[in-house]
Amino acid sequence: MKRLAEVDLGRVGTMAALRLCTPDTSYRIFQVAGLEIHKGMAGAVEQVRIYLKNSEGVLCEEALVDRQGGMEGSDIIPLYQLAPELVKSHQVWQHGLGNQYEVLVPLVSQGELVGLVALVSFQSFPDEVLELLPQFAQGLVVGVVLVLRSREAERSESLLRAATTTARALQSASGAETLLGNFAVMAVEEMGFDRATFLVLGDDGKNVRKAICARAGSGLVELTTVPDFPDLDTPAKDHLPGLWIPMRVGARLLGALFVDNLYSVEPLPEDAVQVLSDLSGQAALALENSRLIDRLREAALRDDLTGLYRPNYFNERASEELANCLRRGDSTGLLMLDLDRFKEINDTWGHPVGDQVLIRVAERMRTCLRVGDIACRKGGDEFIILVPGLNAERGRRLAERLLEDVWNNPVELSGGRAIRISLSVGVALFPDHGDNWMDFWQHADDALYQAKTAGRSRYALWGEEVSLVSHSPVQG
Amino acid sequence: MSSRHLRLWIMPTQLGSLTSTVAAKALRGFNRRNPGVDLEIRVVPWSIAWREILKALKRGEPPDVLQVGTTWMGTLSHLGFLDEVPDWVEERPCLAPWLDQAVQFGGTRLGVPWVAECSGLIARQDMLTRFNATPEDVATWDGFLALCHRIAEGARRDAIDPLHPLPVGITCRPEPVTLHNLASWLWAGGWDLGQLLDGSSPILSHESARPGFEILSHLLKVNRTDNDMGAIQPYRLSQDFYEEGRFVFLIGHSWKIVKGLLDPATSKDLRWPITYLPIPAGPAGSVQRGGGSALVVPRRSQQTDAAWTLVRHMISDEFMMEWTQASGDLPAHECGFWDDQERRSALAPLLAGIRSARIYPAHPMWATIESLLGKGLSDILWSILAGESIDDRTQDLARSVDAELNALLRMGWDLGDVR
Repeated sequence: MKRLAEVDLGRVGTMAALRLCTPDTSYRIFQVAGLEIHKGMAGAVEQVRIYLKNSEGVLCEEALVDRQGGMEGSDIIPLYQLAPELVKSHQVWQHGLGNQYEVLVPLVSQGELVGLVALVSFQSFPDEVLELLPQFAQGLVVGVVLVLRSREAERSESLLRAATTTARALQSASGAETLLGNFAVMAVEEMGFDRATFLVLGDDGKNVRKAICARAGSGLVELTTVPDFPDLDTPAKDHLPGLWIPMRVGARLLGALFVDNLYSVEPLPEDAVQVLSDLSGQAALALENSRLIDRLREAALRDDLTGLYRPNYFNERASEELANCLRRGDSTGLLMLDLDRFKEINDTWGHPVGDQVLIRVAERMRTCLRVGDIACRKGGDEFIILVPGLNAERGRRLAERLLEDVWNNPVELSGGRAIRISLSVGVALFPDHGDNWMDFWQHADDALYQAKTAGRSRYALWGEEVSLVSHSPVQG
Repeated sequence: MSSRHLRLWIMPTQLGSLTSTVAAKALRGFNRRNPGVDLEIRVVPWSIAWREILKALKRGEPPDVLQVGTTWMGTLSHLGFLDEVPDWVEERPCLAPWLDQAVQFGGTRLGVPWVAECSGLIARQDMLTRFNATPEDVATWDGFLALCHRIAEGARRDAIDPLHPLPVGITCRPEPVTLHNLASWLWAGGWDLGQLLDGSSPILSHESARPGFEILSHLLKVNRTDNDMGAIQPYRLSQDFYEEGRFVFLIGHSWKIVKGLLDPATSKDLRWPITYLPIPAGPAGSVQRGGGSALVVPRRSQQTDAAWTLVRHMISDEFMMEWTQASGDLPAHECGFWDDQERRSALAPLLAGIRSARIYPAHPMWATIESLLGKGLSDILWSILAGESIDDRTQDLARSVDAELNALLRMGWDLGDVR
């Protein structure tokens, strides 16, 4: 140990620092630097451990080098476990370690602790060596700072790449769903979070309309168990390994993104969270625009009074459906509906009441139909419904159900009066009753005419007898 | 095999920086039989391995073969990172059913158990002899506590004195290792963690945890554990036990005993003879915590066949005899090592411990759960060290940890049905 006092320790530090000046920034270069320190200290130490301070302010061991060789470091030292003289005054600190001695040499740059070297020996380090060790640290810290800056630059570059890719993905998304999906996937694949969960609020701004989640190792899933929407005004709990990022346009809350490292227990990188937070503004705006377009498009497709589809859109969808049926060999059905004595209702109660009747009929139709069925207000009091997969039996049942349901849900008027509504329905099946649109349509129309002329509150399947639904078409 | 680069990540054993060298030596047979394979070995420290492995898997650039802790399998399976084990890799059965359970998910085998271990009491045999204590004397909580009291009467507290040691080394640091060392005591008291992770149950505040806290409280008191001792790092605690003789008992793992048995040179290095004893039985019996590691092949590996061939070699008699001899890691499969009757009989208590051990639940969020439980348990132990009552302050702390844990568990909205 005495010999160590004769060694130029400043030069040992500088030589070790030179080993750190390479494009590689991994733990391996610290093994090489550790070996250099071993060599330079002429076998006076048993072990060299090099630590760097990370962004959480914890000293993480980069390499452990002993007489047998070097390995990647694994020790972690929170600053509070170190002597205050070392942390605050940056003094070299020696202490006993069982039958060994350990000297902790702080690595300081611009007045800030950036790392630590631990030297372990079976002999106590004499004062003259302890006094020389700051020179050693001054030499070594140059290389350490270089590595820290290189790592920082690598991380910034990678984050910038991720942010650019994410921003592009947002710009190229068409439709609100794709946009949110892209954003969540990017948070995982580009930013490196374990999970990204989107909770999208409905138009009421309160209830969660949709919840999607992207996670490492697998794609995007729509959640069946929808998490509660968080109270974004309350600070997040420290123990939760994630963070909510609100998505707002102005003061309006559209939803929130939750990013977490639930599986890896990796601390959330502040810079990546900041980037996501910034991008979430862009995403919120894009989401708002996308929703607006969706709403405008929807409005253009729907009848103002009843909310059912307009004939143009119906015809478009119907020809698509028929083409699909022909390709797949499936069937589909067309129901034409006409309100009985609607003119009388208008004449007796006035047009506003007539409008209420139309609204009520549309509402009951929606109740009776499945998601894939397409209902349209053809004009006046005439409606058409395209029902994919319909056969004769189901066609009869659906017509009966419509007649019953509309009848059983009268329009309530003031003074306790109510208007019961009856319908006539014609049904045709594709391709049985016509293998082209014109015939198919004409046969449904013929069936309606047949039902209507037979006495109303009736339905007819094309080519069959008219059926009466057993209630009397009275107005109450 | 044609020329190719195969990357293997393993974790260090007690060999420390020699792990890589010893592994390379033990893999000579594989290299000889596969001259075209350029094998690169990286030794990743345990403390950073989980993050490093997930980082590599998330980036889509994982190594071809990985050693993983058995408790990590639940997460890796959930995230779909692992390749299914081909039938031809394993030839002999595992030592215990839990080793199979640890790698099997929904009927699919995603890893090959490699090394098995179980917690226990590592005891200084010289001190047991001096106190006339037999394994039966410390087989129950009462017996163990009575012996600890006798040891404590003559223990020196002002300095480390191997002739007058303290009863037992316990650390209370806010880390998962605290949970690993002490879970067996809570289990022996009747606590069943697996039943409590439903997002709404009391966990540490469950009444079944109380007997465990009581025995730990007694142990801390009889040891007169102070803040300095409570904060001691696990590796230092181990060093204090093996090198300095500071304690009669250490709660930990058995590798040094295995190594001592297999490598007389190491045995001579031990300053005191040591022996393995099961964790003393509480109201729910004696429960050892099982663990160890498995070998897995990521789905993103570009050469899964070569990778599985390497795994098959690493569980072969040829490799394991050399590896266990050097590292003290016990093979998880029935194999040549265990076929030696003399060796099997010498390791009988340890083998019995492994066979009957209990493992942590294979929860996809285990790393986070473990971290919170370790911290929570530490908070509770510190409150006991500070003289707080188990009835009041400890319960308050346990409830607060439970609230955090349950909030965390409710965040598992993408988990679906967890085994």
